[in-house]
Amino acid sequence: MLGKLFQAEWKATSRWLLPLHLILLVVTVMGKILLSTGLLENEAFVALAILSMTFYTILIIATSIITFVIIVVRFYKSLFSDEGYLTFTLPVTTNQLLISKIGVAFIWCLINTVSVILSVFILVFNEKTMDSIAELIPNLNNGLDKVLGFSGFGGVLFIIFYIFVCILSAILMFTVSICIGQLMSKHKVLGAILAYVGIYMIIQTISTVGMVAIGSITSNMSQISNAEVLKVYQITIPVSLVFSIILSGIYYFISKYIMKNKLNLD
Amino acid sequence: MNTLVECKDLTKMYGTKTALDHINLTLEKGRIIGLLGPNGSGKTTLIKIINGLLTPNSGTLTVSGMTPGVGTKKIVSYLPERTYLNEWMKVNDIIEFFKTFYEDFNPTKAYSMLGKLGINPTDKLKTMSKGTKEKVQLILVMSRKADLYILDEPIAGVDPAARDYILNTIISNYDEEATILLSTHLISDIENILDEVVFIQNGHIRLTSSVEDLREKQGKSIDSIFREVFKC
Repeated sequence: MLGKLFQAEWKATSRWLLPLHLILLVVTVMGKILLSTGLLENEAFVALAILSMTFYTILIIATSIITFVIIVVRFYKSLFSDEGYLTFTLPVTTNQLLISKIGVAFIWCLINTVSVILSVFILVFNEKTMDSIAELIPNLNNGLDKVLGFSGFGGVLFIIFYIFVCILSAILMFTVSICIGQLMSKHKVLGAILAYVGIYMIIQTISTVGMVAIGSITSNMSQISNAEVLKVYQITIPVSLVFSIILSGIYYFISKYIMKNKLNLD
Repeated sequence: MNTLVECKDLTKMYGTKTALDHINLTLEKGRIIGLLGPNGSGKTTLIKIINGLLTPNSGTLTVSGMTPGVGTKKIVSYLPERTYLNEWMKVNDIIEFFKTFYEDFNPTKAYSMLGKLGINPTDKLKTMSKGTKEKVQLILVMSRKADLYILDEPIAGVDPAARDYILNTIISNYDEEATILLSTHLISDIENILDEVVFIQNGHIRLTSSVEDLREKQGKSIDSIFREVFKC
């Protein structure tokens, strides 16, 4: 059943998100062609260069925002609007429902992240940038080694894992907010927004307290040395990672509890 | 055992408001049962609990011995009063969807009923009128071979001519072993197909009886009994 739910979820989301990412691809290819003509280096076409740069930047940002909006709207509509009457009477468990929705949302966020990075990379890729990237890698590697104690392949894996956790907890923060919002008998969307703001403020408070605590361990802030900055990173990165994982778990179980026991369809 | 649905001391509160107050009710297999009551009497609350869309505050409810969950959802075919279909889908997409998720769904039956009502399977739901959407939903629900069909206000939104066809569809498309629980306040339209009635008011069961008994004892139609019991 989980597979079937994944398929249905994929079908429902890809009808918007697939064309959206295809547009990004087409624009990227067109941009690459435009760049290869050398036209934009001509002073007569400064306006065109600025215009196309602006357009591209907006498109990149819009693609990411639209991806998230579509995921969130789909989650709300399929579960807590009239469609919920069908979704919640399918012979599936709450876990299966939630996992399929979060899973597909996660995949789309990854596709979006990778597409945006690839698109930028394709456009800026040439011999000159290649050289500067090649110079950057040992530096990055060195930094990773100092902060985390491992570099190379392990470092890359760690960064990917970190990004995964960030995406997952971002998605789950939305799902739990929507679930909390639907508890209200009216203004469910407003409820979801308030829940989101509330959770955001709580987390910010905890993070600030945490940062101050970590800061006070290291030393006085006035004459901070490089080694101490490093120390702060060495503590904050793993702590924030564990914090995000714990939060994601809490979000998941609250969402599941509400969907199972506190469903409040109009 | 002939019991299909059993409620024991079932209570549901919305905040401090009691929607169902210690209800005891047994529904048997192979019956067409009318769940009748004025607006806000608790009909939809009861139906939602049977479908697992609400959890009761206290008491128990079982369908075929199971508390609402995956097991009961496999054997209950539910027509809510809302249109729950995805607007962007075509009728045949929805049929595919039902086929994917319900093992007891019969697409051939669905297509044949669509044909009889002149509904084009390649039409998008977005382009359909409310009444047509309700017909599509009813066809989907009746194309399952379920143990229990729950129809919440199935005829409220369609014209009287289509009502007859729909009621006909309901009776001719369920097998003798199955039970239909039908909620409505358009009693005169449906009283001829009912075997049993459950009168519900303010979260209490006022009366359960077979239609035959009721007519014999009181010598009146269900519609006029309803008007008497629930006189404002």
